[in-house]
Amino acid sequence: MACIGFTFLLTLASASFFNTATSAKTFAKPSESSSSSPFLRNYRDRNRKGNIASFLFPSKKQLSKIVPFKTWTFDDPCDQMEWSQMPNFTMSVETDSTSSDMAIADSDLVILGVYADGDKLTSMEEEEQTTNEVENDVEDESDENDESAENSDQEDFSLPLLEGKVKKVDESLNGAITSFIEESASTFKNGTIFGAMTPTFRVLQTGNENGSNKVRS
Amino acid sequence: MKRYIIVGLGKANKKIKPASFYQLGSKLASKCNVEKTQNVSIIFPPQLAESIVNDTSNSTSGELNEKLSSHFSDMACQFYTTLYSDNRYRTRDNKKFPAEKLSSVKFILDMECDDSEAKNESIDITSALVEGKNIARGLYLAKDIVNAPHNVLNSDSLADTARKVAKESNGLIQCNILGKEECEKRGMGAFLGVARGSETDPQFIHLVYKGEGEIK
Repeated sequence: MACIGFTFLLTLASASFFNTATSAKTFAKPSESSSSSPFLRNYRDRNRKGNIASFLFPSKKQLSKIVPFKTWTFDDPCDQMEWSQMPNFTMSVETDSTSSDMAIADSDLVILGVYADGDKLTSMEEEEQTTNEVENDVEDESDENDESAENSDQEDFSLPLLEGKVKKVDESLNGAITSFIEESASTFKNGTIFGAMTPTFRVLQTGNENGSNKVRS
Repeated sequence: MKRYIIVGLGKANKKIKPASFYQLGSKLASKCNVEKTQNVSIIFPPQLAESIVNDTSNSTSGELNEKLSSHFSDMACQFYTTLYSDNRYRTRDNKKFPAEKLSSVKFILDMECDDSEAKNESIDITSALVEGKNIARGLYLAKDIVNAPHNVLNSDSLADTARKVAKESNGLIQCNILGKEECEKRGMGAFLGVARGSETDPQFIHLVYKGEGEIK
């Protein structure tokens, strides 16, 4: 009987203690600190310093730092695998002249494909071959290197073919594309290399009544 | 402000290699990413037909169309594949979205042909671009599967992925998955023996593709 009585008293005591603690945690305000118990003051002090209480009851901001994502855990195997999303843009082909003109006008980046002049290059390559054959006979190697360098320079400065829409764009920009190709001939190689690209050049709209453009590269 | 880039397409009278369009697609996508552009137009000159087909005078429009479709499909596929970024296990600033602002890509074919032919080609090449995108989607999934760690990609989640693939194929792919009990009934001892080493139950995944149209 004595044992049962002791257990009952212990239960009552613990219940009253936890009631005080939870009510204090829920309703207590900083202004009431003078009238609250030493236990609560101690609890609030700890909370302000951010030691144990902040660890036990972290804020949402703290939680986001601790748990970065909720899609999976190391503890359990996942039932599903997330898929990567494809980029969301439209891809289309324009063959009609008017619609392609509109597409060029609307776009902020225009990539112009150009072909190198095949006939011109083949004749130049033939010339290069013949000069190399002649040069092989000559004993002086330094002269040979100089001549081949000159040939490569000549090849660089021959302009690629501009036809159709590309030619129209070039004309609308007052030959800016042609001059830009000339400038970047050493790296661009007249479009001989498939996929070789020039640096980007920008055209500023000046807003004149004549509709003239200001080219800046 | 308008930006212009000139891209070389090789010599005019020289045939382009099929793999070159893969490279071109990749380079174009990289450029779109670097320039942070919104609308892009890519102009192909009239000599494109000559560089694709050996002899334009003898070749039929169907042959040219077929080769153009194939090349544009490759280019579209590589364009999308270059922009792949696995952000599933990245957080906050580590997430990367290549060409995030990009909204439209237009390939302009500057080819001399009458209106009816042009329309037909446009339709065919549009379907080729869709095909390229679908292939890229498959590549995205393959990369996702390879990149996933074991706690994410196990037998259960792989079976779920197979079910999703079959569901999205609109009946072209049939999915049949055998669980542990069904495998035991069929006496698949070797398979079950290997699967005993795994934390999750074994899933025997059987995908059957039944394509439309004539069998080539």
